[in-house]
Amino acid sequence: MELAAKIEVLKEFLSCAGVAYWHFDGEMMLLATSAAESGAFRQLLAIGGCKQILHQYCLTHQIPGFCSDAAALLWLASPRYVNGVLTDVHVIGPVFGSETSEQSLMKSLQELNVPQELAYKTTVLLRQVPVIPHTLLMQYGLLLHWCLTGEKLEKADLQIVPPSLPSVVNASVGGIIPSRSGAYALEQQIFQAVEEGDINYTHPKDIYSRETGSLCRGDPLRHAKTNWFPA
Amino acid sequence: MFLKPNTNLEEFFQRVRSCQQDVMFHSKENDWLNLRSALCVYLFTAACSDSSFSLQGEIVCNCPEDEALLREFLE
Repeated sequence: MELAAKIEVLKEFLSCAGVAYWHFDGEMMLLATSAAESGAFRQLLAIGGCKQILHQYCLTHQIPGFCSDAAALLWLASPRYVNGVLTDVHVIGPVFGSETSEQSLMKSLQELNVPQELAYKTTVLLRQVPVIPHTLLMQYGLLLHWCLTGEKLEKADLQIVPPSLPSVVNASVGGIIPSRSGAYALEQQIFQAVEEGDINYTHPKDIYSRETGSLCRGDPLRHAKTNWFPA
Repeated sequence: MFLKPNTNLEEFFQRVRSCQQDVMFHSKENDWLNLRSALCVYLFTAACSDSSFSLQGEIVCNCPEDEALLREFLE
């Protein structure tokens, strides 16, 4: 069976599970996808930042890897090399790794107290993302790699692609502390200060004070609008 | 500063991610969305996909370096 036929079968197989398939060239220009054309779904990969991360990964690896963005959307990428040159990147996703990740995102959405209209649109967008357990996604990755190369891998061979972090600016030198959220980012900053023996290290208090934003409340017109749109 | 119409959101958010500090979208209705928050990015994108939503909010940067970084997307 030829590669195109194998990929076509896999694509159909994935679409039965509600999982989108993406085919990019070596420069991550989209060649084909099974994702719906309308709406924002097609932009999820790019706007979440995973497109760049997966491209960087594929430039240096020849086996599938998967990454997750800050909103817990999972993507799996499998590179295809011809004569040592990256010619194609095949991507599966986005998926939620568990019901919990989907529900926690929805809960965060509610906690943001966004207007019903916006919340509804976002919910519709995220409802298009299927819930696929990690183990199943890994099997899809193994299938994809087999289709592309004919090589059989084990689950343990798959790589977890770490999220790329912006370069850390030394507070004592640059005077600017990058505001990144998360315990990991905070730890990295503290560890770096310890490694460098920076006795003038300033604790990045701004990490704790970060906010996702606030929405207008109390305005009668806005209140009426919010109530107008059904959840 | 306002976002230019027909802005390539992929390039815009790529640039926002490289900003040093938070970048906020302040809508006409006084909503504040942090464009460095993944959830707000999805909110923003979902809203942008609807033709009835306009990008007429203001982009507010906390430092001039970030504003310079985003200048080509703003007017």
